[in-house]
Amino acid sequence: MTEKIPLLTAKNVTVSYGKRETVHQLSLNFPENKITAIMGPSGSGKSTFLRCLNRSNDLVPEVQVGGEIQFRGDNIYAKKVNPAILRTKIGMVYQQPTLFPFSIYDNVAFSQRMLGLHDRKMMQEIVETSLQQAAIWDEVKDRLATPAQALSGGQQQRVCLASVLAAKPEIILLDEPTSALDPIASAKIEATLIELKKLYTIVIVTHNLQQASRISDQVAFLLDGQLVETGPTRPFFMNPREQATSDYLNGKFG
Amino acid sequence: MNRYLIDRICRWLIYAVVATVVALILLFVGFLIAKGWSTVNWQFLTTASDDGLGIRDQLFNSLYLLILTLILSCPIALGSAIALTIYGEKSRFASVAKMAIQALSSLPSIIIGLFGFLLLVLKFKIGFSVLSGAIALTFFNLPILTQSMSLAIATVPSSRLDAGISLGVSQWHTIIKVVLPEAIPGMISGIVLSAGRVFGEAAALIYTAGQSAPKLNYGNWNIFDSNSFLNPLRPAETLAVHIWKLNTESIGPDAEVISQGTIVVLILTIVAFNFLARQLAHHWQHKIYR
Repeated sequence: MTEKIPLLTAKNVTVSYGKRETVHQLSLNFPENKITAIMGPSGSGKSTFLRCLNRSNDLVPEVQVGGEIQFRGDNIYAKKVNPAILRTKIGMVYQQPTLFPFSIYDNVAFSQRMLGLHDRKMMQEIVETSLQQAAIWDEVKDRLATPAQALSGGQQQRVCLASVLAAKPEIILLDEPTSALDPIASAKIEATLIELKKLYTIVIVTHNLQQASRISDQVAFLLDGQLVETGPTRPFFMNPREQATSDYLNGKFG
Repeated sequence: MNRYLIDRICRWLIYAVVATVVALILLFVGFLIAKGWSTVNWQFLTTASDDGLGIRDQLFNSLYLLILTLILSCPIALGSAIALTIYGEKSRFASVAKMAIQALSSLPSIIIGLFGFLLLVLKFKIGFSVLSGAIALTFFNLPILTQSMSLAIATVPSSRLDAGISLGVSQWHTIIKVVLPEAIPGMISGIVLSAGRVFGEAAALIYTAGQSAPKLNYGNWNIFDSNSFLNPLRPAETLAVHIWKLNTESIGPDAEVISQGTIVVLILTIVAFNFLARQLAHHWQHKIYR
C-alpha cells in the first residue's frame, strides 16, 4: 500500500535575508482540513516562514529559501512552478486588510477576472459563495457596489478572506489576521475559520495563545527561527514537553 | 519675553515672508501682463510673423513640439518609474539610476541644447528641425517627469502588491490594474506641470529646433512638404525662442511690442497648464474613489 501524499510539508526549511539566517532547518507537516497555528514571540521567524509557504517572499529582495516545501508532493520552489498560479492554490490573508480601492464586488471578483473569467452569472455566484463562506454576505449583500474600504476593519478582513476564497484555493495562510481587530470581530473570524476547515486546510500565525488554543488542531512553537515543539493542540497546552514552551505559555517571555 | 509672545512673533514673521513672496510674484507677472496686454488680440494670434506682428506659427510650433515631446518622454518616463519604484526598489542599479536622474534634472538646458546640436543636428544630420527639438526636449524633460511619476507611484500603498500576490495575481497585472490607475492623478499633474516647463523652454531649442519660423500652410497635410504644418523636419521657432530672438537680434521697430505680447501669451498658457493639472488630477481622484 502506498502512503498518501501529504498536502503541504516543509522539510529542513531555512530562510535568510542577505547573510542573516532567520529560520533554521524547520520541518513541519500541515495535515489536510486541519488548522495549524504557528506561535512564537515577535521576531521568531513565524511570519517569514509562513510567507515561504506560498512564495510571497519572492518579491522581497535578498531573501533566500533553502530546504524544500512540497505541495502535493511537488517542490514549490522548483523552476517549472509558476508562483502566481501557486498562490491561487495557496492564498494569504495579512495582518492589515489588503483591499483595493474598488467596490466590494470588484474586490472579491478581482482574482477570477484576472484569471480570465468574464461570465457575469458565474462571477456573481462565485462572489456570493465566497462572501457567504467568509460569513460577511448578510452584512454586505445590499451594498456590494459601495467602496470596500468604507467597511469596518473586521468586515474588511472578512472581505479579504472572501477575495482569497474566490480564487478557489486549497490552503489558506493567515498572518495574524485578528491582531488589529477588537475581540468581537476576532471571534467572528475565528468562528468562520472553524467552519472553513471542513473545505480548506488552514495555517494561521498568531501570538494570541487563547486564539491558538480555541481554534487550532495542531500547534508549532517557534523561537529564534527554530521549531521548539509541535503537536496536537490539547496536549501542547496542557502538558508541554519543552521548558521553553511552558515558559512561553506561562508568560515568562514574548 | 514669554514663550507665548515669541510664538506669535514668529508666526507673523512667517506670514510676512510668505506675503512678500506672493507680492513679488504678482508684481512681476502683473507688470509683464500689463505691458503686453494691449498687443494681444485675435489678429496677433492668427497671423504669421512674416506678414506683420503675428505669432501664429510660433504658437503652433510650441504646441506641436510639446505634443511630440510628451509622446516621446511619457512612455520612457513611465517605464523607468515603474522599474525604479516597484521592481528595483532596493537594488544597487536603482540607487545609481536615481542619482543620475537627480543630477540630470539640474543640468543647465543650454547644455542639453548644445548636446542636441552636436548629436542630432550635426552628427545625425537631422538639421534644425521639430524632430531635433523634440528629442532635445525629451532629454530635458525625462529626469523631472521620471521623478514625478516615481513619486506618484510611490504614494500608492505597497500593500496593493501584497494584496494582488495573495490572490495569485501576477505582479505585472497588479501593477497594470491596480497600482497605475491609482497613481494616475499624481502622474497627470506631473505630466502637465512638466509640460509647462517644456512649453517655456528656450535654451534647449535655440540650436536644435532652430530660430526661424517659415510660414506654414495649415491646409497641407503632406508631412513631406516643407511648408506643411506637420512636417517634423522643418525648422520651428517657438514662443520662448521668439522672445529671445526679438530681444537679442531684432532691429525692427515693433520688436519690443511683439516680444511683450508674446510674453503674455506664454505666461497665460503656462498658468492655464497649471490650472488644468489641478482640475484633471481632482477629476480622476473622484473617478477612482467615487
